[in-house]
Amino acid sequence: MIRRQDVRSTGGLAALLAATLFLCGPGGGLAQEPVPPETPPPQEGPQAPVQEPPPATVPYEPASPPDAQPSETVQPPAPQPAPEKKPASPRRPRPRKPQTLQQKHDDLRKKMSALAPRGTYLLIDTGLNRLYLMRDREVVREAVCSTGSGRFLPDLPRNREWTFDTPKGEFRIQKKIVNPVWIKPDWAFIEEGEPLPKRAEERAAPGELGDYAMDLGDGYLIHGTLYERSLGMSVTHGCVRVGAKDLDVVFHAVKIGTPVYIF
Amino acid sequence: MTRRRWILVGGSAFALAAGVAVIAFLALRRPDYRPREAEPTLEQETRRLEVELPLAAAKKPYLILDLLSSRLVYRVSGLTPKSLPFAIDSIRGPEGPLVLDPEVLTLLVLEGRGAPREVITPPDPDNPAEPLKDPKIFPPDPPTDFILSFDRPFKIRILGEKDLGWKDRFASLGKAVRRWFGKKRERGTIRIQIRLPAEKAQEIYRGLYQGEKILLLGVEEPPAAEPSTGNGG
Repeated sequence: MIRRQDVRSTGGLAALLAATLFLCGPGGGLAQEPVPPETPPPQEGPQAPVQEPPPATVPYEPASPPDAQPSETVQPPAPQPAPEKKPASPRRPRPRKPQTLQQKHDDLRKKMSALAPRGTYLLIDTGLNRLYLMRDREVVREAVCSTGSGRFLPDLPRNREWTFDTPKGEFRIQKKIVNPVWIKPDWAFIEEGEPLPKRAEERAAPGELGDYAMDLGDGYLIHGTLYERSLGMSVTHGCVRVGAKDLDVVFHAVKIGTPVYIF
Repeated sequence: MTRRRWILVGGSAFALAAGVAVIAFLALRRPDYRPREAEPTLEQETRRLEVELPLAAAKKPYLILDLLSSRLVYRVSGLTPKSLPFAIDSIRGPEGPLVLDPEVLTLLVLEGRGAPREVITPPDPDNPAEPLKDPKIFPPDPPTDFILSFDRPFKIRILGEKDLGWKDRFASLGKAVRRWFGKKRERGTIRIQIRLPAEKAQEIYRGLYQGEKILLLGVEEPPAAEPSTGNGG
């Protein structure tokens, strides 16, 4: 015999069971936020500090390049019948597992390594006036170059000014030019105390930029020079000058889109 | 001169010498700034990476002035292309010499390299410059001794060592005295002086640009002085 109170509690249990079945059943349930994949348990014992790349005077990449992820073929999901819409219920976010310090550290290092380039790229040291042709972590060619002088040229009558710095940061080779012709900008004439030419042809200076030029954008080029004696000094108007032999090697090693890092 | 007078003069001279020695000892006393041998802890490393990641993602070069390891590290887009060792001469805060703390770091933005920009003046057609003196062909050497200023109260003096003649030594001594007494010292500023070979100092100078970010490891900004809360009596 079931007493009245027992019936009530049994009914409550049944309702709870039904609700649970509904929530866990196929196609049903509450929408949930994606949960990050579980991370492995933290290692026990003292954590070895992660080594920074050893100090060096030649360029190198960080010690831990990003791990290559094997590509997978993803099949498009089969069409599923739309589940019945149920009244919205309050979401209860699943508590995330707290990230351990080691996991956080590894995650940061991975993100940092992912920023580093792979393959062929150029590194330009404006302090030392050196250009390095790199392939992954190896220096393929080291070249003496010239970078911006940092000097300042005012053009008071026209209220203009220029500072001849080589821009710093990450760039990409946008164009490769054979036998480039320098179209002298206004500052080239102002610097020499010459009047600005009236005809465009008077600005052309063939041969000044050497045999090749690589365009980094905004008018900045890596190019050759007639004045190889001044290589290694900060004398340019912002472009990067390289000797003829090195320029030949670099020009043929890079492609359009090759990254260039100037620091 | 009597014997007593000799003793008095000798004693005074000895006391004076001892006083000078004590003052010199106190003035030159400083914490140990030798490069640390222990590697940074996981926590320190993680904190540094947290600050570094947005800098690296910005695709602009930045520097890490690691006072704990006595190294200036060049970084760009996750690469470490160069690292220069240096020696620390002094680190002084408003209250005196500072002890390095491996737990702290400060991000600074470079505002000045301590030397004026060189202005180009077009040549005089009547008096052309000699080719060997033309700065377009042979630029003047960058300074070997300069003070960097930042958006926060820090001054970093980069001192390039070079072989000095006696004239240069006197000149640098005079400069130091003038610097010590002549200038009004900014209150609350942390002053760091590092030393390295002259050509390396010039290399650093050439590579710096205004707005460059420098992550300083081992020293943090002093807390701002609290305004006086006294009731004025």
